[in-house]
Amino acid sequence: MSAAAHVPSSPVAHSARLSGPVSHDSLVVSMGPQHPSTHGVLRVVLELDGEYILQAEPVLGYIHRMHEWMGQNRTCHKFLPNMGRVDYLHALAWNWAFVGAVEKLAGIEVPRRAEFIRVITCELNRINSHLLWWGAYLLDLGAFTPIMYAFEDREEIMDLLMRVTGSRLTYCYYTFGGVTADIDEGFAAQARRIVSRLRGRLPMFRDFVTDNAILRARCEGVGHLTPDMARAYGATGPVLRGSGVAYDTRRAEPYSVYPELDFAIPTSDVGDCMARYLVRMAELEQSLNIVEQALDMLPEGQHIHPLAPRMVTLPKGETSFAVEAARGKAVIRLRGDGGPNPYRVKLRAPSFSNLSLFPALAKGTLLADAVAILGSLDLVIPEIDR
Amino acid sequence: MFGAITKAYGALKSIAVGLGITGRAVFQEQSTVIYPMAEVKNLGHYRGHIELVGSDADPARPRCVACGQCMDMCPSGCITVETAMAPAELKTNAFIRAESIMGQLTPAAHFDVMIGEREPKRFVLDYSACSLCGQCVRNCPAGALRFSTHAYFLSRDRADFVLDLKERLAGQAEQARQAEQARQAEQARQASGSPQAEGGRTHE
Amino acid sequence: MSLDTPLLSLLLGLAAILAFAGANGIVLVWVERKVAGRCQRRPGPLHVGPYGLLQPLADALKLISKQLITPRRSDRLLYWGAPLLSFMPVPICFLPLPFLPEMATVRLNLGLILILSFIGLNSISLCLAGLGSNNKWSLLGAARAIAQTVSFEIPLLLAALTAVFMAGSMDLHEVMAAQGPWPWQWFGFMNPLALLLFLISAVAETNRAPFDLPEAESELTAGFHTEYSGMGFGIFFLAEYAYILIICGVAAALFLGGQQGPVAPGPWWFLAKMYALVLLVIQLRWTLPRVRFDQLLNLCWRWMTPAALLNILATMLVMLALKGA
Ligand code: SF4
Ligand code: SF4
Repeated sequence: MSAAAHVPSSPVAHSARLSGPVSHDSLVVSMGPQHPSTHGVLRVVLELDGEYILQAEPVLGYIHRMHEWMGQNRTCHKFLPNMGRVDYLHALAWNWAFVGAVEKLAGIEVPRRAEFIRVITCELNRINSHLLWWGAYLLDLGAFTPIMYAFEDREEIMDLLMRVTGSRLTYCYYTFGGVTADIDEGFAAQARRIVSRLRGRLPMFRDFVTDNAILRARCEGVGHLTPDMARAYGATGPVLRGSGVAYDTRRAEPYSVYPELDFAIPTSDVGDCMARYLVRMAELEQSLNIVEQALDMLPEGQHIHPLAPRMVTLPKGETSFAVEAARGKAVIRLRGDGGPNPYRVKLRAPSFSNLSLFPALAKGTLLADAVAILGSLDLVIPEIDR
Repeated sequence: MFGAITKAYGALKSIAVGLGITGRAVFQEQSTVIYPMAEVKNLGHYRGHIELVGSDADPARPRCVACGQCMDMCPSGCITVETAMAPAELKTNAFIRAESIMGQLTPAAHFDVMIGEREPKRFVLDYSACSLCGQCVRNCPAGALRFSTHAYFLSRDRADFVLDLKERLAGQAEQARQAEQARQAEQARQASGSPQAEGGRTHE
Repeated sequence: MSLDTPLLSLLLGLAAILAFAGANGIVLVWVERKVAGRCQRRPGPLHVGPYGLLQPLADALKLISKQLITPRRSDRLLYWGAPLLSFMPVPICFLPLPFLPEMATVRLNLGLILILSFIGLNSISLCLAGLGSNNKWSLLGAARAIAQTVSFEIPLLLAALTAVFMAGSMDLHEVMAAQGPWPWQWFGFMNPLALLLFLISAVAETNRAPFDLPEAESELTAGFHTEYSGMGFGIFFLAEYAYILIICGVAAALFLGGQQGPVAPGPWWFLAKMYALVLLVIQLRWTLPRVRFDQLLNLCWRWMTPAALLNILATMLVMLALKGA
């Protein structure tokens, strides 16, 4: 008998995942964990009345990799490669968050040149991430071609980043006290080429997609998010800015050399999917500006501090370091106890908070709108599960 | 009524613009590299598995001083270094400083390694577990590791991805030696102006 | 038994039509993939056969050789009946299309009605597929399919009727004959609104993007054919292409002068116009995002149906005026 007790008698019904009561004549479907528009292994349980959503409940845990636990069990150096796998689309932001937190706690200095290199590569990575989001969002809305156009440009940026980082997606480029490889003239020239090329492509993106009547009809007035609600749920990044709150970590909690750079924080007061879309498209332009400025201002010097320790031992204490990732505010909270491993590494992932908006936003909308809303939140599932 | 017509016109126009863009793309040059037929050009920056760097004196002998730091640093535990004493004649009086926290081969936090005192008996990489993070390369005090540009590396067998890097280095050095010999022979032949014909070749 | 035994010629004709529909499906799959590729600046299929021409054959082989899986607790009869039902009307719909010179075809004085009524059967088969699959996504797809086709049949018919009024016949050959060889003598040029309405409804009627709601990959995984594998899916696929061809053929005959052309009128003109429309339909798919379901119905009931009605009224008035003059 006791052996049989371990065997689950039947799979958990989808409806058991829903927090509210389920009416007997509604349709409960599980969207995901393998569904084309949950982008990875997110699962959302939906209660539908026809195509109208009565309740939605995200179910997490399908790609949980225990990053925080791993952080406690290895040295900072060994944990660093994990950061590229948290948000694989904006890997450098997480690189930066962790490296920045360690530098802050251990008092490691970073040369000015390295800071500029970080800005350049991080912004290029942000452009990459937004381009991929753009393509994937259009895929959610049923247009197959934009993603291919986005990938053309994305490919060039990946080639460029590969030059210095050696990787194409899961970068492990920043290190405590600087970056691991210096950028050269060729890099700068290629970066400028990419910036001007992409500037020339953006009008095409606008004509092709942004101005398209069907896209407008699908996004305008859908998934309306008020600023208060965005704040209450802890939304950050383009989701928050799409609701009219000009909050950007690069300005709100300035780090690195961002205060010296001139860029705007695009916002929109409308708060619907289209507003979030337009904010991201405007951010593409801002990031291009930042890259160009940083290239102009790039000082001579070292790319890594000569006294940067090869092995970091965290002193006793606690700190946190926030960066603006493509999806919002990414924070590492770090506590050291003087031992070789961090005592605790806590990751604050923007996608997690942004996802928590989904049940509220999706309620009462059509299934197709739910897909549009989910896409407009720009979720990266490994970041949510960590 | 008029509003409806302008709205419909605007919508149709945006669709026509879209059709124009995809239509033009049909006649544009394609941006795909048709992979097995054409090779990608940027392999110079490709970061393949790690490999050992040969020493200046003897390219077949790794620069590695068997400090074990790469083993310590590797998050995935995919490097195994077995040490041995190096032949006495290689011993130098130079030292390099290595740092360690959880030294597996050496216990102290800082230690100096004499160049040429020890050498790796075997240097094994389990590439199937490697995440190509680069921590080993970055932190080798002797500069004995680098990324290879070994891009076209396929196998159906997991065991093929366990590489003996020391053997690989010896093989590479041998290849380089042969290439160099061939080059010298070619130069010598051209210098002496010997005929191009098959029979004109001298055997070594 | 001589060749003109009615039964024999019927069988031969049927075989020819089926062969044509099959071959067309194969060619159109290739064209679709090539156009998709070129639109996205990729080469499309490339390796199987010259220019990847044999790729669809290879795909068909793959589909045929796959195991047919019937989902648990599905309705076997509906589930397997649906793909067959979806393909069955195809030969009938091909009959009245003016592929051949006038002498050699079956003259049906209600040809247009025949086509438009049998095309409607397709939506029933999609509905059965969705119902029989025992899958919630399929069910949603089935509901969408029915609502969509039922709605769009109205503007489709009204737009077709406009051309019929102008020609005074339901026989596609006569409609063609009523139009002149030059583009400005075609009904599509004389009455562009009718052509536009017809094309939009045609895309919706054949469930093609941007109106591919019953399938809606990113919403309903694969909609009504989520559960189908192998040839079950293959037949739906083939039928879809056959319907595209049929409806584009109807549009070419009704609005673009069919076999009429400035030089050397004949069936080739019809074929060229039909395939040009098919290409347009394919390119639309690779350009546009998908509309939402309520928007689709709004488009139909609030925009297209009134517009089609007004258009038909205006056409009649103009024709009366012309007759009076
Ligand atoms: S860190 Fe360098 S020197 Fe030390 S064992 Fe590894 S390869 Fe050899
Ligand atoms: S690259 Fe990273 S994972 Fe690979 S062997 Fe070096 S330290 Fe280990």
